[in-house]
Amino acid sequence: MNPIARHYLRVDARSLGLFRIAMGLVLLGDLARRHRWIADFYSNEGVLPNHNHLFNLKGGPGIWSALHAVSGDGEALFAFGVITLVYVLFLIGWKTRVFHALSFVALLSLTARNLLLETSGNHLALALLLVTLPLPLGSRFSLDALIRAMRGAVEKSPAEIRAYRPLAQPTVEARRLPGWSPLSVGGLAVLAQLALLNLALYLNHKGPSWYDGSALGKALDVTLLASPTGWAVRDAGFLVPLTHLVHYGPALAAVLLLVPVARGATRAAAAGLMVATGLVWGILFNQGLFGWSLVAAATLALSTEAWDALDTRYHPSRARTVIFDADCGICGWLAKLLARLDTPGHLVIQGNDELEHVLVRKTQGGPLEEMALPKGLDAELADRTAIVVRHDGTFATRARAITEALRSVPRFRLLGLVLGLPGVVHLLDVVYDVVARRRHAISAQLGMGVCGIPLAPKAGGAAALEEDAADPSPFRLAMRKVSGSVREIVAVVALATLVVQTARANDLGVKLPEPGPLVAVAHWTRTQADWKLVAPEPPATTGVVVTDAVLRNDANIDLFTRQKPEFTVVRPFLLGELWAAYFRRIHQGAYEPYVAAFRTYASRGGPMHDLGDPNLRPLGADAWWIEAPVTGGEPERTRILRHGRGGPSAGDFAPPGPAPGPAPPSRRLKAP
Amino acid sequence: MSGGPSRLRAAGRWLRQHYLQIDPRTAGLYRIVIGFLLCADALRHWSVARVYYSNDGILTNHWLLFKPPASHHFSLFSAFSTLEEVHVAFALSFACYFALMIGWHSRLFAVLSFVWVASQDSRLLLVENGGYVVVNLTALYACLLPVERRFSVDAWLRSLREHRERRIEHLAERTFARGRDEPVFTGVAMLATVNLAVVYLFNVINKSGTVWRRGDTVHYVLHLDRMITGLAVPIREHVPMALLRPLAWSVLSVEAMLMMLILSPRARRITRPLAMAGIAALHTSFGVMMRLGPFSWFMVGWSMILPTRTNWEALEERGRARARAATVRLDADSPLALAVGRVLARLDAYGLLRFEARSRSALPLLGPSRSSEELRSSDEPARFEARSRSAGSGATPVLEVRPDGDDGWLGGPAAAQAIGRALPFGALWWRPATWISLGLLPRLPALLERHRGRLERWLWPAGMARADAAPAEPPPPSPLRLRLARTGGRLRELLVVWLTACFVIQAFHENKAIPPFLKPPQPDIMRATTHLFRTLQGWGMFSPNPIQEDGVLTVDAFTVDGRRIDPLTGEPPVLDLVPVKGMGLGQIEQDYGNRIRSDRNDVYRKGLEDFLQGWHHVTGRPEDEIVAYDVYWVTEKCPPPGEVTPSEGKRFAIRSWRKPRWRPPPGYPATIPSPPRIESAGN
Repeated sequence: MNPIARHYLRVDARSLGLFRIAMGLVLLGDLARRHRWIADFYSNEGVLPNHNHLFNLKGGPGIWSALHAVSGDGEALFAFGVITLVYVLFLIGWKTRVFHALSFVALLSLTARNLLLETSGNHLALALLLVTLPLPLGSRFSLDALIRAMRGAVEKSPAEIRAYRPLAQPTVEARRLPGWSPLSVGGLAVLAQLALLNLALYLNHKGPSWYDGSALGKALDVTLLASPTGWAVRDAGFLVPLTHLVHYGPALAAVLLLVPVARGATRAAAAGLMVATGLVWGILFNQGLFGWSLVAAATLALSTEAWDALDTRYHPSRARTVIFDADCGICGWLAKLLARLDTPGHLVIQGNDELEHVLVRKTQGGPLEEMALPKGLDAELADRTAIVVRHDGTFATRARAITEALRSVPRFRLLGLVLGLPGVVHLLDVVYDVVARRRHAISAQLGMGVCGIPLAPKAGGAAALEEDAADPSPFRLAMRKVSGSVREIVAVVALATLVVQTARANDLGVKLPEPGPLVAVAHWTRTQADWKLVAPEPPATTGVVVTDAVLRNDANIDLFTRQKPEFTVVRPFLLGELWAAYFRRIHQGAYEPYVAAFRTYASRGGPMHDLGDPNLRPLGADAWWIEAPVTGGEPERTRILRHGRGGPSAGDFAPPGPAPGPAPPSRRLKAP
Repeated sequence: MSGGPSRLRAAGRWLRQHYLQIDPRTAGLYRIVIGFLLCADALRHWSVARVYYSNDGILTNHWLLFKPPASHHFSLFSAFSTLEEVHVAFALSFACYFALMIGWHSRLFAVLSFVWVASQDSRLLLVENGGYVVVNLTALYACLLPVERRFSVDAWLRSLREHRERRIEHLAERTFARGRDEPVFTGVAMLATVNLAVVYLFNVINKSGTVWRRGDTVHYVLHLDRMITGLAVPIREHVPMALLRPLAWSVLSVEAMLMMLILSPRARRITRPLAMAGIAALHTSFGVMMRLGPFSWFMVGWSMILPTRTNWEALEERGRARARAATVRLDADSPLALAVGRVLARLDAYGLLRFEARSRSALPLLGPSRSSEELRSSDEPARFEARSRSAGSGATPVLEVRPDGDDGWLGGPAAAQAIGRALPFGALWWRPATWISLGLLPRLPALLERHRGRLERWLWPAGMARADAAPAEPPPPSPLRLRLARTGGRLRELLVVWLTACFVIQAFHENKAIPPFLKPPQPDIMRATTHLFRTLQGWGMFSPNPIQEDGVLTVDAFTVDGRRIDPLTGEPPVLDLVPVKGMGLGQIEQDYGNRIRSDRNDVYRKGLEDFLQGWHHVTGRPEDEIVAYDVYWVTEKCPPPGEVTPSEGKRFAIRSWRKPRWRPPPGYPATIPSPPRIESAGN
């Protein structure tokens, strides 16, 4: 394959698989974060009922969210349950293409249900899901891949398992589903997405504080920007080098991604830089999905060379012989799985019915040699437990045997180490014994071979396998071309959209034509590529929303902190990223239509509305936007809303002149 | 005491035998009919998407969500605002219904179809009638019945995947047919059947009014101009009461009989088909006379649940008697011939086709007893054509057919026809299918023959399996899979029990014939179950008496360029209903008018006003801007029996609007010189 084409048009299937897992975890984490505030943001009890949002969007460009159909708390909970299921199935890679598309729809729905919560993180996560949609995210590290691999597992004896070799590439490609191709515009779209994102991050940071290293420190002084961790370290000295990393790292990553030489090293370095940058944004800032999506996106940069090096590197110290119960179906299935996962060939699989010697292989691909049975290893033991024999003659049994085998398999080494920790392994021993005692019954339940009965044929039988493995027919090839063309069209649209939108929303220094349909696609899919994080400079002011409410029990509290209102901005913001995004917007003039719903929410007690205690209902409340220069100084206060007679502190902030009436008009601070 | 449990067991067996089982063919037929009707109904709603389902129309989604019409209300359609989005929603829902109809991923699409169709109903409850509830219920039952087992793409694909005949000889084994028609035991069968009977039960007992007793119902119903079709007008004007009265009474008696025929545990071979025929006759006559929306057609669809195993066997008996068995000879070395054989074997529900393999080496150039000249001059040109073509190409024909009792092999159209005669009721459908396919069907064998080389190279480049290849059969399911299936079945039955309880209580609450003291309390969760997806149980069309006052909604609007128009119909407004002979309104339009006129729906009139005031945005023509309008409920009294002319034409203004500073220009009719008094059009 042309190396240039491979560089720009192909993403390794293992990178895609790892990205799917990382992105699935990011999405689930995001959902958990949203779930905490499900009633407040996603039901009609919250700050924005669905009808109010739809009404405010009337006449504007198209915004679509399936969650607009959801009204009550119970419905929202059900919808979140469905979304969780979709994300989990995407994570494990079952019917991957379908659940990939559904994950995109789910995140789009979560994003578009309440636009006040939207951040650059939503744009990035949606853009990543969109550009990878034409690519086969489920062809590695997925349940789909496992099912496909084990459907072809027709070995019937330990010797056949031992002799297993991966299928040749042409056979693998012949078995691919229609639409799969090693080269795709989708690969280019992914590369362009990563490069443009990094480039925009660098170019947007034009201010002097990004050059003198003070930007992160200043940004972390902004209450709503800093996460609790970021707030805690805002004066730390390491923020200066971190600022340079966040500033120059993306520029370097963009260059490394595009350089078509030394792919293994350059791509790995780019991925490392993206992970570092992403962790800074994710841990220190309230930027929603952004940092974690960037970390997930870094996996897409990993090259085939890096994966091959990882998969085929042979460590003689990890060579082991695995002895399993050849009469047990589930044991045989696991042995076949191990044989498929063990790409460097560390493991020799041996049945307990051939126990005259221990078979060992001392070099990668070398001949099998016979080693005398270690002392203590006999047929009776091999009948009770799986055994992993090391070349020095020592061996492990029960759960330790499992962890030992895992440590020899690429990508499972860490899992093997963790499971082998004292305490964990003892717990696993108990589980192992329970399963081992019932292994024949479990095998029978699963329809696998038991007590010498040959392992069951798979659905459709060997004939089906033969037919599946045969060269694809011209008809099948034609179908692939058709579906592949559809996929490429989607990829081209995604690529064009992200290029146009990135140029439109960022200071890249280039002006591109903005075709209406592409802008509409970007708008509708919320892939708006706004990568201006703390750009060009950190904000000069910091602000926060304070509610000043008097409850029926005469308590004077801030509805969000449940403490006495503090009209100060110098404090960490503990409500999380969703509220931070909401507060950043709700005081702005452009969002005035949303204030009425916020007032209703506050009148019900705000986040306390679901506690059911009538004493926690406010008799009156004011919501204030408190803003002060980051450098210090007297905070300015602007009322966002008033409910009832207002809060008790209202008089303190009243302008000179007549006392405020029961519901004075709000004054907007500034237009966005 | 010891007799108690055994009697219970016997009762259980009896119930299981009579009501708790369903033939998979029945479920398959039900799926096809309901899927087809759902598709048709979706197209009907889709055609009025702009006015009734988008934010350009009379009820925006945000207003619906702000003022939900029911305590438990959910609609996926609420998420779709603009016309373009609504088109996407209808396209998605139609795709689900179509997939259900053809039986592709039947279970999944049955559930999705139910959610979509209930959402479509809930998006505009103003036009809901009993027919919509029937639609929701039939779609719900499709989710729970074993609809995927027969007559579905799923069943075909499964059969082709799991039973891989690899030689022509394997076709004779017909392993795919084993056990496929075994009845399925499920409570859904009883629930769906009893629910159907309950529809007729309450329709009979709720119709307790004097008009029904006098037999004047048909007369009055045919004079409802807002509902009737053009066919009803000549009937109401020319058919004497002496005939209309028996018609009205016959409706009552047929409905009463239907309930008994549906539930009868005896002679079901007769009672069930009779019930189906009665339902079809009753509802088809309703359907062609009146615009009731989906009610009539979905009731006919619902009746497809009724055929029992006995009925299918009787049908098979009849079909066999009309069919003619045949032997199909296929080229043993052709994968195309094998594929044709596999398809034919699966279409051959009665097993009347026998398959023979013929190897290329065994091909005689001509028949054993007649020369080519003899054949050419005989009356069997088709046979000769097939034979000579295959002989000329040096290949065995893909397919030849010899009907039983015939001594020669047929090719071409004659072969296709002979196969058609052997398939179930081929004699009935062969000719229509030939017409529908524009003559393609009989030409299929010849087309396959002509293109066999290309087809085989395209589809089966590896050729046939080895001669000693065994057919590939599926392994038996694992015990765990069986256990999971059993658990799934139990959960389904639990759901059926729950639904049964909810439906019973709902039926007690909704039907007027049940006295108040018999109505049990309805827990909120039960109410939510029936209301969220609109699976209600109130059955009483035209009860206790039919409507005797007709009425339509009319908008009397002036456009900026001086035209007078009703924007809802695009026609001049109808301000007097008396001379009208059928309004020609669709069910959605007429039910919307009938509901929006009610004071209790006053809250939704704002949507109508917004629609009227922004009508020129919808049409995209500035000259369509409406500058003044009055919305009237125009009524008339239906004529008394024996007369044909309605009386007492009235109109009630329920909304009125003048654009600020608008004055009627000189020469304008004085109909709307000033806003009329807003009146009540009743509830």
